[in-house]
Amino acid sequence: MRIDQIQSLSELTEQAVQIGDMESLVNIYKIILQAEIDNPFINPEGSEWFWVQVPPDMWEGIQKQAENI
Amino acid sequence: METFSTDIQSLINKKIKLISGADKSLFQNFSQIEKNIVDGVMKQVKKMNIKDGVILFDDKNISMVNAINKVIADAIQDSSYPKNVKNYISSFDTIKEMNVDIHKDVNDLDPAEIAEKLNNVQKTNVNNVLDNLVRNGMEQGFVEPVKQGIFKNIVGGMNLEEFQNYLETTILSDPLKQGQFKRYVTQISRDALNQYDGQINQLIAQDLGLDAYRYVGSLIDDSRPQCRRWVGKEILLKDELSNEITWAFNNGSGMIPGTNTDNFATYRGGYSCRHSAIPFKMTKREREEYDKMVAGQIIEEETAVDQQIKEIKNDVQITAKERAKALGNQELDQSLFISSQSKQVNDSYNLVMEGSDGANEVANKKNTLVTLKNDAENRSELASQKTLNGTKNQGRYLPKIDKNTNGHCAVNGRYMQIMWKEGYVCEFKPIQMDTEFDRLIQMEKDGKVRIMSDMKGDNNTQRIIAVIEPKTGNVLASISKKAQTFKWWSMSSAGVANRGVRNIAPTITHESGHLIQFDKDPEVLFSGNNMGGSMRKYQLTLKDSPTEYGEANKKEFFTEAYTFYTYDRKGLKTNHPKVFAWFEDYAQSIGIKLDTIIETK
Repeated sequence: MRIDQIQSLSELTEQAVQIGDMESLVNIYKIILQAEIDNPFINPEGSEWFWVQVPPDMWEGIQKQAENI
Repeated sequence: METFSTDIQSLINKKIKLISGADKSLFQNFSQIEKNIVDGVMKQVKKMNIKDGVILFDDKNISMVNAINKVIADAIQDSSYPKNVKNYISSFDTIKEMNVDIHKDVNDLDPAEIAEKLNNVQKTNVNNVLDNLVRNGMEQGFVEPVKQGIFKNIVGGMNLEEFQNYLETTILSDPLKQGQFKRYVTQISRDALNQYDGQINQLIAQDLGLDAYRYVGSLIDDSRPQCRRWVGKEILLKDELSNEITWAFNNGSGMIPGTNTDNFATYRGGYSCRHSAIPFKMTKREREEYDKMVAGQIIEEETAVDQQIKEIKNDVQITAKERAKALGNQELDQSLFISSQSKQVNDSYNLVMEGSDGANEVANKKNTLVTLKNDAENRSELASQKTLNGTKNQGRYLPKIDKNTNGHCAVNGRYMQIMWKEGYVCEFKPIQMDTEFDRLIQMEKDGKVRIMSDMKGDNNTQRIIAVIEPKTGNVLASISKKAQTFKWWSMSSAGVANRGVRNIAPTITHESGHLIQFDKDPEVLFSGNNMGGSMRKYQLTLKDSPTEYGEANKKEFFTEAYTFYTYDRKGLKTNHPKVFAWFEDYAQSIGIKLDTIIETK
């Protein structure tokens, strides 16, 4: 992923958290997951920003919904 | 990228097939081999000293057990096993020849030269395998453990029949389990040919400084993640190997510990891996083509991510719009808002209203006059009426708020008024409604309030407890408790919050609850049959209200539950589960989306 893509995703994560848009959060998580599988070493920014921005209760929900990914 | 020629691909497939099937030759007539071992041992045991069927533990027998190694070795020698091993070993030669043909073509090598290079690898591997299958390795790995088992059983005083059972169970294989010999041979042969083939590739790669591998072989349902990944990539550059191996250890399974770039071709995707990593030298043109292909893939992936981001952006915007609409997240029409309070108070009021499903939207729609009045303004109707002068609402009626009331909402939402008293706050935060009384009791103990009780004379109810401010003598709250449950009940949810923590927010929520219900279920203004029917479904009566105030009528029952649902959802669920279940059901049935009633955090 490019840095500008990560920035966009980070901004979208913030907005989705604010309005409780779980579906979008799950979709963002899917992109991160896929990016890490494809390219685990060429993602210097990592995805810590995602877990920092998502509150624990939402994270639980995302994991549940993402079980079938 | 060019792949191997059809001939070479076919040869590689043949080699993989040979490696996968070679151990079959080892297991030809294996049940007969196992039977030979059992018969040989039994023949020896029957010659031992036996009394009353029990094999004795004496010098003669110990000496005969010590001779068991030779008995087993002879039994194996007299079976088809030596021939099986010979056939299996011949596969090493075939695999070498196949690799010579493959690398002659792939790496343009001289066949005689390759064969010469591979001789040592072949010799070492064959020696190792032979040692394990017929010599010392077998002695240590199979014969010795069997002998120890026999010895233990004779020491244990086993009779002949039991011993035969023991031996058959240990040595003979059946469809459900492998016998000890078969297990041992399987263990030795399992990776031997694969790793031998891998060592050949490794040697060629290192010797010729080859810089890439083609990872070949078919995929099955159980193929490991790393094998799927590498077969998918087709080409693994030597430079990438370290990262790929790390990836496999982190995300894959079955990798052999110690796998690294120097032994990758030998160990590949791990134990029992049936894939081959064929080394080759990339030409400049191939490298350029590869880089271009990878770059293309990255661009393709990035474009896909761009597209996904675009879709998520749209989704978030739609959700935000829907939510704003559902929440009535629009501000109240300022011509309807009469407030003498600071911007901060007005903002707090708006925050509470935003937490109530579409309250501002309903107020705008119904042209509801909303006031935040202090005591002085409330005493003079004029102050409010004056504010309306010159607006489209000029002349509209705004009554005083009764001194015992914190706020009110006129039937059908004509106006909604909140009394703002000195020292009050408006905080949208959790309040434990049912236990707030405990705090009041503590406040009395601390001398901050006085509490007066008045027996109603009813066995079930000890009620009207006034909370009085000691200095002024003002009544702060009227609450009651039901003796049956010994649980304090509030006069009203807003009352508890107001008098207890001096927070006006629950009053606003309570009144907005009226506003919303009048809009969503206007029938409640008349018979209230719709809500009544819904309550009956849950066997609820007004007496089940979480507060005494809610017992007054259905409208107050709803708004009290609504206020609890906002400020003390857990308390409502735990202490008033039927009301909780009913509320969610009824609210949804009249079109309130539950996620638009924001729970205080």
